Amino acid sequence: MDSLLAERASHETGCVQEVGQRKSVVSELCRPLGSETMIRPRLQTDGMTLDSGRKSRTRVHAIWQMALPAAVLAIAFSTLGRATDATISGYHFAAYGVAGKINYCTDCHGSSGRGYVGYFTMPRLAGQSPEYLVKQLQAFVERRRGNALPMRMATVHGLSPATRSAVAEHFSHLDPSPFGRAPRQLVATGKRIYDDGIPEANIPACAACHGPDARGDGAGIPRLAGQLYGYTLKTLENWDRERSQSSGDPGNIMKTIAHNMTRSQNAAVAAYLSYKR
Amino acid sequence: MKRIRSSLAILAVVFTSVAALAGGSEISTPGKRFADNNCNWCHGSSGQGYTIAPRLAGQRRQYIENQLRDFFKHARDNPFSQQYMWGVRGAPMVLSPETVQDLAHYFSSLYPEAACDGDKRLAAQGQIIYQDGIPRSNIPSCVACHGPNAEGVRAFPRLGGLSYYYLKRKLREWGEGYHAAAVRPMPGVASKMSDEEIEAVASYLSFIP
Repeated sequence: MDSLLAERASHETGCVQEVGQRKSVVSELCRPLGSETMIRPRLQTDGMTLDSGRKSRTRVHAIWQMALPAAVLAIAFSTLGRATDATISGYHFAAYGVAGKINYCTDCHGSSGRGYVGYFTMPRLAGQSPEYLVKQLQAFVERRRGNALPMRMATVHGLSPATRSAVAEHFSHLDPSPFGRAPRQLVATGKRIYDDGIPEANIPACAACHGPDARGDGAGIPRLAGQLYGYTLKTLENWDRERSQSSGDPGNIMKTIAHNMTRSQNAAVAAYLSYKR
Repeated sequence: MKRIRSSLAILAVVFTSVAALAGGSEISTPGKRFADNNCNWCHGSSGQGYTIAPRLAGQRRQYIENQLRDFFKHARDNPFSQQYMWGVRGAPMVLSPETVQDLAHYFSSLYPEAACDGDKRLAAQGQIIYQDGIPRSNIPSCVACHGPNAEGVRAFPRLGGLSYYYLKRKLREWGEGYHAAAVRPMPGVASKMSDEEIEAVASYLSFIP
């Protein structure tokens, strides 16, 4: 089938159309639909290369019957952005659309949104409020959260607003076990800080806003339960530099709180949260 | 004459000692001794890689350990792995845990030379794919796990400086369904990449020191 198309391409003035970085021979479809060349492609070029009128029509008819669907398939597969061979190979391949985007997110954020520790720490998304996730995605697009190197650019530009909502909705329903892997000896201190705060340092109890179960509350107050130790620690440590970059953000209240907390207090709270169901 | 002879003697001593010192890993560790006898045939005399066998020099220590164990468990099942790393005479079959650690320490301490055998014209495009991924094809950015300089971290392998041909083969094998030692995410990621994208990324990485 491919050699047939190639043969046609070399014999007539077919178009070679670049689709992304792949070339597909679209000699038939380059011509406008509805013109007679589409239906009877060879009649206008009779006598050019073929033997006799009748033979040419039969041969042309057979070629057209095979080549047109093949050309359509070639277009379809090439526009999907796949490799030049038309088979979609490999496992874990998800369909495009929302399922494909979810697959895309989980490549870094873990198979059930649990979080993943690569060179960078990709936070847990599972069980997070969908409104909060959409807000963060918007913040990445508008560059109000500029800290995450892998997220800083095209990642979220590949998501339309509708897809963002759908993806966020998907992750909000997931419930894998907490990541853990934090220093166990810090958990008790962390729980105390989380539940009671540190009054002498003007640090309110985290539970007051984030809830005693650390599940958060809607768009403004994120779930913290099960969040990765390294991620929570880094976020608290770097709050001034990375977050609260715009006014009116409900998270701006964290600026003062994070500023008042010491590193060991941050580590304790982060450790406690990493085990919290 | 006497002066010339003594000068020559001094020069000879100096040269041999300089040669010995400049040889690099003159400290003969258990890992080096084992590697010299078993691994260097394919992986090269200083672990830089040789045709089908990848560079081990400068690779993450934990990654090397994991791979040696996974060869033993037959988790890496591509044809070269099966042929050279699985069999009865394959090295991993006779490795004790101490030897695994020794080898990992040895190879990770070697200096990695960049292979620089990719296509220079594709390197710029490869860098963009490495840093940003390809959102329209749902391919995540490599930098998230492998680091900004492709040096890897902990059990995530160094990709910088690996041979273009090796990287290309690995990415295509995963797309063909061969298994990785770590089940996620590489086979899924690589299976979404087209040949041109693989060649671009592999070219870019082969130039990273």
